[in-house]
Amino acid sequence: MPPLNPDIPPEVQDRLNRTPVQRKADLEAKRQARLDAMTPEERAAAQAHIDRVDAIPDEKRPAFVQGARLAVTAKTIKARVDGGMDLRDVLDQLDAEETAAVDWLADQVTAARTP
Amino acid sequence: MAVFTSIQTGSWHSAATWDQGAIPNLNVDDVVVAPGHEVTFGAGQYASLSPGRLILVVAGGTLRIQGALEAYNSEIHIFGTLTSEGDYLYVWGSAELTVYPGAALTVTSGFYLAYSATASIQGQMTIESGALADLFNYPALTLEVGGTIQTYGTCYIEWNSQAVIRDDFSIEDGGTVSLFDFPVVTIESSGAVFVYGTINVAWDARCEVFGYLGVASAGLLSVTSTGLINVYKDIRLGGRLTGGGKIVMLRREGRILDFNENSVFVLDRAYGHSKALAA
Repeated sequence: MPPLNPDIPPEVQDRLNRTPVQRKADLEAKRQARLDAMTPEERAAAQAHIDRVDAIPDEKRPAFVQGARLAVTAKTIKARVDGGMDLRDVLDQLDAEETAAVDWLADQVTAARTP
Repeated sequence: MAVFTSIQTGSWHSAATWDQGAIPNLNVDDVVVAPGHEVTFGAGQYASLSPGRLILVVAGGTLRIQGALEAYNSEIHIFGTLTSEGDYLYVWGSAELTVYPGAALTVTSGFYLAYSATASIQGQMTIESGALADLFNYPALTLEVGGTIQTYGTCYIEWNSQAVIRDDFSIEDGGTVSLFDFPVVTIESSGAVFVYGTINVAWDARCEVFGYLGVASAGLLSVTSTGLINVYKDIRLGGRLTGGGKIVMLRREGRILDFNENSVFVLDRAYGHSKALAA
């Protein structure tokens, strides 16, 4: 493929010319280098995240994305409440629209888990 | 499998926008937004850039994401303009987002960098008022020399995230950056963080300051709980400082200055055992 634009450095043109398999391998190698720079504990925890994500079927990735957003919010609030923050103070910070969204989610979670 | 290149300004979901005469399938296709074209990924639309796939916005080109775009184990290269203004842009897995010199990433809605993904900001990144940028679960963001980040909105750097600041990062009036739950933010010697809004460092967050950290008169630096700031040189405190966390001055030569470079404290000459005296 000829260069699209002289402003594109050759290395980016090269990325475009590489196959998806090659690109994926390159990205994985860079990620592995980052993992190698971590402490053993950090590396094990990060690798556990990676393994879990890689096991997700393609069609479930959109759901996983939403689950991850939900989980990180829940984990953060739980950590603060465990540390002594009053959950009512957290909820009091929400405006009417936000309160309605949280109430909706709480109701849906309860309903989804009810046999 | 094909490379779809824009041939005119238009909707992502219009076949007339692309040289292939069809709509790109990000499971199997790459996408190039060409110079002079503005391509809009419409509201209500969702797409996932699959592993090994690539989106390239060439200098002079614009990609507006008004729906939701997710990039997993894939690459986004921005030489032009990328705007996340609808639902969100979600970069995760081993995915890489690169904003090259002269390029712009503007977030007016949501931007997520998660699960060991990386972002390299060599151009301009702007988080607008009301927008959210959220880093969580081992991602790494690097603001390179020549790049800038401005936030008027909210930025969370949380859950084992890493950020390296090598140039100007400004937290504007109304903007908030919060570090919590084991992130590490390193302001390197070439880097500078200007706080006109609020920065929170809390709950096992660590900030290593080799470069410039300055809090303007309207700014707030909150270091609470187990938050820690290690200062290797100077820190500028012209605004408010709150919280029960730690700011550790690691060198005798280090100074606590106001935003105009005047000393707030003068340290005694006795190395390591001095009392701090108010200037």
